[in-house]
Amino acid sequence: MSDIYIKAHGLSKDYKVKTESGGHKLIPILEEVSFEIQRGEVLGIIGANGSGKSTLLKLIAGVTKPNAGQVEVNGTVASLLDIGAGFHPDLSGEENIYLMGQLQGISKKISKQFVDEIIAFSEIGEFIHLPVKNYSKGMYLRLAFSTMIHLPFDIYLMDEVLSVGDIEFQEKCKKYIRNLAIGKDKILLIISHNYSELKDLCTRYFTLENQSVLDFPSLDAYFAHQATRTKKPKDGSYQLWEQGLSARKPLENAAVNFRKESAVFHFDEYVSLEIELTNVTENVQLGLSLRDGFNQTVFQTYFSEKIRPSSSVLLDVILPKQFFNQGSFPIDLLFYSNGQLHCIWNDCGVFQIVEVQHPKTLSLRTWGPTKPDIQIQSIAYVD
Amino acid sequence: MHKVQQNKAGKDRLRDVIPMFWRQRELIMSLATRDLKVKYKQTILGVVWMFLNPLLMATIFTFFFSQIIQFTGVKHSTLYVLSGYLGWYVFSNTLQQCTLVLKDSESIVEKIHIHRAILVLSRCLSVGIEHLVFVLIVLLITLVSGQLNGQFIWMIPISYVLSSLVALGFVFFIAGLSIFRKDFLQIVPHFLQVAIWLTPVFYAKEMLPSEFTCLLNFNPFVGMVELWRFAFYSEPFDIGIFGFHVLILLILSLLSFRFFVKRERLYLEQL
Repeated sequence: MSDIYIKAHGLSKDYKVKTESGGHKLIPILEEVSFEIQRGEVLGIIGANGSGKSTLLKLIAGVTKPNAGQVEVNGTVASLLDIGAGFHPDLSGEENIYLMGQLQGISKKISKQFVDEIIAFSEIGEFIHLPVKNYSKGMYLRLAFSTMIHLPFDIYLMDEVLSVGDIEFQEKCKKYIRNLAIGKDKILLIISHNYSELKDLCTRYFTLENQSVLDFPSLDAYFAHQATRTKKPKDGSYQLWEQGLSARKPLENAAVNFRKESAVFHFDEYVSLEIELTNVTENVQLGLSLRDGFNQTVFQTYFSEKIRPSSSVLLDVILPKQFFNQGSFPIDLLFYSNGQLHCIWNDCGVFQIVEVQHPKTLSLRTWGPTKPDIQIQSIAYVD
Repeated sequence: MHKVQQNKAGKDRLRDVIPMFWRQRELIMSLATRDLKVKYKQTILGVVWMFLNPLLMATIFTFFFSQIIQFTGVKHSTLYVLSGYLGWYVFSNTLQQCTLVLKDSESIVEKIHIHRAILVLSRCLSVGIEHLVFVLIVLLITLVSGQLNGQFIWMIPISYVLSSLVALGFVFFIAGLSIFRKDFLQIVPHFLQVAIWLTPVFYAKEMLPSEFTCLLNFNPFVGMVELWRFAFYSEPFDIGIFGFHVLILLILSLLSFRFFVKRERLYLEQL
């Protein structure tokens, strides 16, 4: 069998979008992108929503064509762009395994050799003979995912599909995928927003920025790059809390700086902020509000110290260590006068937390913006 | 193994696409069996349904066109309508069912690298099997009525393939046209409704006023329908006009397929 590889050369892709006036607008997604991926490589594709990650995978899968350039794909491709695409609700689980294989170019004869393994891995049990429309959502996804990772493809394209099923099943999948990548010399391309998921899997990272691909050897290199962009945030935006209040700004500007090279903190590190206020003209009380990656408020707090008018005020604030879960946290500053919230300075800064690992607990992934260290005080068994 | 590229080479040529169908024959077959399985699996009568519809049609036509309406100038009224309608039905049903595939295929084509023609062909195959039942029933009726002409029985499979091919040609033409405008998918049922009355399916061409008869020469579907009548019970077949019709239809189908294969790139580009 010839070598497995993906080679992209001068790849460009635009999307045609209808404008309100009835005309068309071209939105460039990729411009003159070139890269090479060799066998055995596991690529994590990270970056903001809408940056073209999925389009890149679609181009490699061959479901959409580039406007210029070419992708050469040598090897059989499993496209997990949408998990369960191609499953027919009226067919049984087993029939769907074969059909899914055939749709992606694997004959029934070959699929037969893997079918027991797939059924066992997906934990579907006797349900395998029932139509998949009777499955729960979780079972359906588990079966589809198990099918795709067990059938013998050379190249696997996964678009945010790693979070299938419960945490235990996810761990099992991760383990299996790691084997697939490292043991068997395949190519994997994984889109994910979950860095801890990618961290122990990937050998290389892509991120898409300004229609081109940036190539990083490690997540740390990616974070370092991110940090240079997030270190000096744009000036925050002023927002008056209530219309009735005095529209006069109590200060000219508010910003948050980090006493570091980058705004990236390890889980075990204190998050130290330096708040800089310029031209404070009134007595104010300061508050801090933190949001998570989904723009949900994590917490708000305010400080009892009153700040008196001054041309420049610098405050050091230390946020706890071993508290924030992995992710990025935008900071808003709140200003109170006379015991009332007066105004908010949105997006004064943003920091990132990486490498969430409790020294004593398992390295299980957890949800939510925080990961405080909570311990069991006592255990009693009443048999 | 595939190459996705922008230049003129790649999978845009007819001679590359046809071997691809052959390589994917297992997939085409299992998609067709899937269609049939899914359709009849959850019914009580199961495959019996496959026979019920043609039997019902055959019974109605036999009763109606032997007891109530008699055509003049044709050899056998019932068989005239029955075999002609069969020819039309194979064409129109294939066309309709395969157009539905075009509508439904988007979700899968967006996620999995698969040529739309594969999906169309597999549907054509599964409806084709249903049509085969109809053909056998009409053959049986012709046999029972003593009209079967054994000499031309080999024409039946030819007519069957012709009607299906012409339908495929239309599907591919519509698939090529509907890339940017889905309106073309909506046209199909309207087109079929009109075309069935422009073609002598439920009437004999001899029944038309003479000034209209010559207009039928411009409708190639006449040749297709007449071929079925000739194949089943040797209704006279004007090889000059009707043969020309059949030829035109075949050429149009081939051109449509070519058109579709070339246009498919545009479809994939805008996905």
